[in-house]
Amino acid sequence: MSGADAELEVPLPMRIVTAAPPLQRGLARLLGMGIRPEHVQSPQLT
Amino acid sequence: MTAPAEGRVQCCIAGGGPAGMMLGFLLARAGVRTLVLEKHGDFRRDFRGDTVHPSTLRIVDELGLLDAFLERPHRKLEVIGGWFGSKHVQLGDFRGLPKRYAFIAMMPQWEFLDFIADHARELPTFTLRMRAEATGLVEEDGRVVGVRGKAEDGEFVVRADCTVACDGRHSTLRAAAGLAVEDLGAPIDVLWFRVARDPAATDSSLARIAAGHFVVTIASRRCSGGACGRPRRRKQRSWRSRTTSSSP
Repeated sequence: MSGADAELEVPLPMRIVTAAPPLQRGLARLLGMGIRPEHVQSPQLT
Repeated sequence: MTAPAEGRVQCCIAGGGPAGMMLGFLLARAGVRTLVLEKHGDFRRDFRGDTVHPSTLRIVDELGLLDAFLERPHRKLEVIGGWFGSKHVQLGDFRGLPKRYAFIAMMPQWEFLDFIADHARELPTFTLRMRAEATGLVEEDGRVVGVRGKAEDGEFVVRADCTVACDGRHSTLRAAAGLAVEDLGAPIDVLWFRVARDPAATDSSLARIAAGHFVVTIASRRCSGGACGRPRRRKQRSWRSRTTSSSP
């Protein structure tokens, strides 16, 4: 079997996250919102 | 030879990409007389960042524009998953975020830029000059005080209190300012191409990983066929074989 055809083993961290929906929501929050979300703080003057 | 035309603004931004347009919009909205220079005639270039993340959607919401923004063509990506060989993995679920931005909006970048440009142009302090390319800096006493550029009607000079270079990874102004770039290297090559999508397909997997290579699939609203940026003919068979092995 060539290297390209070999069955890949899913890395342990991916298996854990796939099995744990709360971790999926946490990762999504980190990816989607970041660590320190930015906000629009300047008022509209024009 | 005629002298370059001159203008003056408070802020001149070189480059009308996401960074330049959003900065220009926010500054103009706050009352700063802002000019954005964009060398192309429109924003319609494909294979750019087509994801608008929840953090950006929230900012658009804070600007009071989210409902109008989401009228633009887009797909909602609520979960992130993919295939690792023959095994499916799910790595992210945005549905736990506040409902108005509990997803990634998959939207062509030109839609995002057109949207920002449309709303920015309503501000009296905002000017977007298309087909105008920043070619260098104006310096006085060791300070940057504006940019030089060229447009269809000739060369120009814009003097500004603040000059911002948003002209991309090969930034002309960054080089002109002598700012060094730290090259972190890139261990992979990326090939963008477009393939037709089965309209009945519901799989929105983002990644398909195989031994030695992976494919990221971004579902577009457009289902047109054909590949862009085709590889050279002699490598085409190998490229097609490797691509279909990970993303049949």
